[in-house]
Amino acid sequence: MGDEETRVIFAGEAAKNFGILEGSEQQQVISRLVDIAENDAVPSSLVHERIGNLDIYTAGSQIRLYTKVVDEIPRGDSESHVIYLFYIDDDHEYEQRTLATYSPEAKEKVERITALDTVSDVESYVEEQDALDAENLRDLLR
Amino acid sequence: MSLTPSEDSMGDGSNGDDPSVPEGVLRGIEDIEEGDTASKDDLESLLNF
Repeated sequence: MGDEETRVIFAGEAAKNFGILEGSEQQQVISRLVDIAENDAVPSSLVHERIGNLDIYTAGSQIRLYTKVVDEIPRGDSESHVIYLFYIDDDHEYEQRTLATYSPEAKEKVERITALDTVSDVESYVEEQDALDAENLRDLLR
Repeated sequence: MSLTPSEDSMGDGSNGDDPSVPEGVLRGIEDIEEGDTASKDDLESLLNF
């Protein structure tokens, strides 16, 4: 097992989605993120499916977490894995969610904003982004 | 040239078929671009259990 730490960055949208989940669903989301963060395997190997360059995790039987996973940064001297959580889909049948095209432009934007190869000070970067580590996530379950 | 449709309608778009995602995914991407992220305290204030 490497010494890398996994951090999760919640987009404002994902936080909004999180806020309207039922308590048990919130627990499922956080528990799943803790599982991923504490797993010996790199986060990208635990992805359920990929759409374009997006990485989708499942939580419980219904919930999908739309993310972009960046393993092992900075390159060559790996300290962290970063999971950008864009959106939480609770898949409630009564909720008709609007679909949008995931265009090449959107895909490119994701590549650009998650391109961390050049980040030299990972600690400062993840702090600026309000990233949560496994312990922070566990605290939310207490 | 193949006219065979993509095996997976939510595919990777590499064949020119752009996949569909919930609209909120795009909003989340914008949020990250604009630095709109949620902290541990923010999430704590949203807990329903």
